[in-house]
Amino acid sequence: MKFVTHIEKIKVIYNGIDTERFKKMNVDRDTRPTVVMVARIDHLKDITTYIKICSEVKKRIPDVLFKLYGPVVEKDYFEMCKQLATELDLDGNFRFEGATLSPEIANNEGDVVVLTSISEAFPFAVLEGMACEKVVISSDVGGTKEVLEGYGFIVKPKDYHAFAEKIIYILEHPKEAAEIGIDARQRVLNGFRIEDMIRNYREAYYGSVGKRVG
Amino acid sequence: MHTTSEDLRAMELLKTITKGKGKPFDEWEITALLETNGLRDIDARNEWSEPDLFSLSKKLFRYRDLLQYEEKEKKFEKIKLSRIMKNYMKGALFAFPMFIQIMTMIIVGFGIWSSIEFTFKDATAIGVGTLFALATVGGVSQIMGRKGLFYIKFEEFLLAAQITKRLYIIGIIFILICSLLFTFINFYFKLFPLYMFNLFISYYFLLSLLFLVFAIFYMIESYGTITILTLLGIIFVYIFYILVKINLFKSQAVALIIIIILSNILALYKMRQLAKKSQAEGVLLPNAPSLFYSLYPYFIYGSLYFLFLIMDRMLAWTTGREYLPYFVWFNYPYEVGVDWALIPLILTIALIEVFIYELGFSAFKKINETQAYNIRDFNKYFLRVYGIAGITFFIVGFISILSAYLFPHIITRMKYFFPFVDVFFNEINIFVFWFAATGYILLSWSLLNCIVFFAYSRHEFAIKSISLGLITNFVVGYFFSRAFNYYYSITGLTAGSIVFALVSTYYAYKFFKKYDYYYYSAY
Repeated sequence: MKFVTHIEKIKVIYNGIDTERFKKMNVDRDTRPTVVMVARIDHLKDITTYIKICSEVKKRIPDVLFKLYGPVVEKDYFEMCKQLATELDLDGNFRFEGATLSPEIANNEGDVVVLTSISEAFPFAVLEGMACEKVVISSDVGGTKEVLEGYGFIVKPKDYHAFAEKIIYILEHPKEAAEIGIDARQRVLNGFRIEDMIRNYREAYYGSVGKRVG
Repeated sequence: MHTTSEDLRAMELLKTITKGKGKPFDEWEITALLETNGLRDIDARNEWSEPDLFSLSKKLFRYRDLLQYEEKEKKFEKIKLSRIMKNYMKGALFAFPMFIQIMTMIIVGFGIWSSIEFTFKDATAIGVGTLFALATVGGVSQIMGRKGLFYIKFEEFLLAAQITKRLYIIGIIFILICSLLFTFINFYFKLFPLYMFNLFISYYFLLSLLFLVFAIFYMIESYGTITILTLLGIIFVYIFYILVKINLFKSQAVALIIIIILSNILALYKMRQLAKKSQAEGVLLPNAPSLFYSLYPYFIYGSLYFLFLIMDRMLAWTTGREYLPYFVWFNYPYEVGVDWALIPLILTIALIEVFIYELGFSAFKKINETQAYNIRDFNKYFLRVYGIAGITFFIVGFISILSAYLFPHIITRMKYFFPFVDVFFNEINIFVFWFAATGYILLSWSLLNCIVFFAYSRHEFAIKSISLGLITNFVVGYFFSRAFNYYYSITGLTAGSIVFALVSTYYAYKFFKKYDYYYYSAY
């Protein structure tokens, strides 16, 4: 390989979020068991898998509601997704909610927060769901595992059966879900806040010029 | 070769991950494709008995030449004359409102804030008001254009609308503060008598508001709207002054107020439309300190630029050699000379739009075509493109200066349509024209360099270049206007533009020589 760097020179700085904005809130929400995903409509987010999960969960919980918040980035893909939802007879169970300016409210409308991406670096959506005390079930991509493992569920990308299995379990065990949610928020508070990210960047920059953070 | 079921499985996977991507270049590309298709190291181990995705990609690479691939979509057009012409027209439209003002002065004798009938006293007050309005709004317009356009290019339309509104309000506050400050200064130092001060402050205030709202249209590249509003303004002045017979100041003031109100309504509507287009995810603007940190260079540059533009006039009007009733005194031949020189500026400034578009276009194309070890050729190619741009610029500049010089000589034959054309034929303004026109061509070349620097976040190159140019402009203009005659201040503009052009070209040369570095370190 022509361009190399030594592994000891690499330092990971995690993204951080505003934990005052993303927290548990009482919002006006549907009383049905609800699953939320906040992601743009783009094939990398693998929305088709999210739709298939809905179909699987519906078999066990007929009144389940899946919401998708996010802007349309790929129009053809959006059409395909809508067609798939119709083919799977999900008109009463699946909603494309469009782009939202308040992802903190969107997350609080759900019992479970899902991310089905097939490629990510370190997704904010996972951190935000966790900070809202929701059980997050995400595909095992990028660095997701590094924050979510032990505080939510990691699933193989595209494996909609596995996603559905976990969601059904959580929806049927609300007490356990609440406990996982509290732990998840604590996990975010311990190193994934904006303040942590700024401190880490500052240390990295100061460190690279041989100074200590003052 | 005997094909096993394992081979078929591997080929099937390779086919899936390369769908729509064409033939993979190497193993690294296959690894990236595996990752973006949701495969993990654990899948490589469990399903393919390979330790990780890297070794799985090595395995798949062996099948690369056995598969048929769809041709990759050819996204890139070639350089097209029609595209160049379209961008040139767009660039010319950018400067078209200036041209309208010049033409109406020759045809009807007045514009929205100018007139051949003004006395020296009136013209001085209004002229200073206009220049101060340009200098006040310059910095804010620059940052509005920079940040608004930045968000628009990234399709963050909501943020573009929000930042524009915020900067617009800051601009209004800034104008109000400056108006109060000028009032206090005049009250204590009595620089202008009350009559002149009233004229000055009224035009200053109204023109600042107009230039500020026009900056929004410039930002969204709605040049046609500015042209229409400018024309409408002139029509209103014509109606009030010629048909209704109200005095000229009141006619212009009412026309300005109407145009400002119309522009604000239109700008608000356009911002709402822009926000509605938003499909992106960003909803929060950066906080004030980080906005300030990222934008202050643009404010400084914008203010220096407008100061550069008005410096020669300020020096000419304040030359105290002959008797001047006030510290500053307007001068017609001088003003006509610099306005006349705006014609070649309009013709060359349009080239900036063409070059910036072609640069962005071919950079994106070349980046996709160039291998990492061919960086030198990549940079050489863009140095050549820059050289061609320079030659084109100066040929067009030379032709446009000559055409602009001949322009009044031609229209004087159609005097019936252009009754005020005689204003051009005066020794002083011809002198001023040649120096100003040369200066403006060099200035537009320097502007092109600076736009490139800003596009790649190298604002220090732009600020250093314009600062040196401005200092030269002041020193040379001051010396010659005081040593010879007031109108020699124009030599300052020419000398300043030469320095600005030389320094910015030096930085541009440095920039394109290492274009790969500046390209990737831009954001």
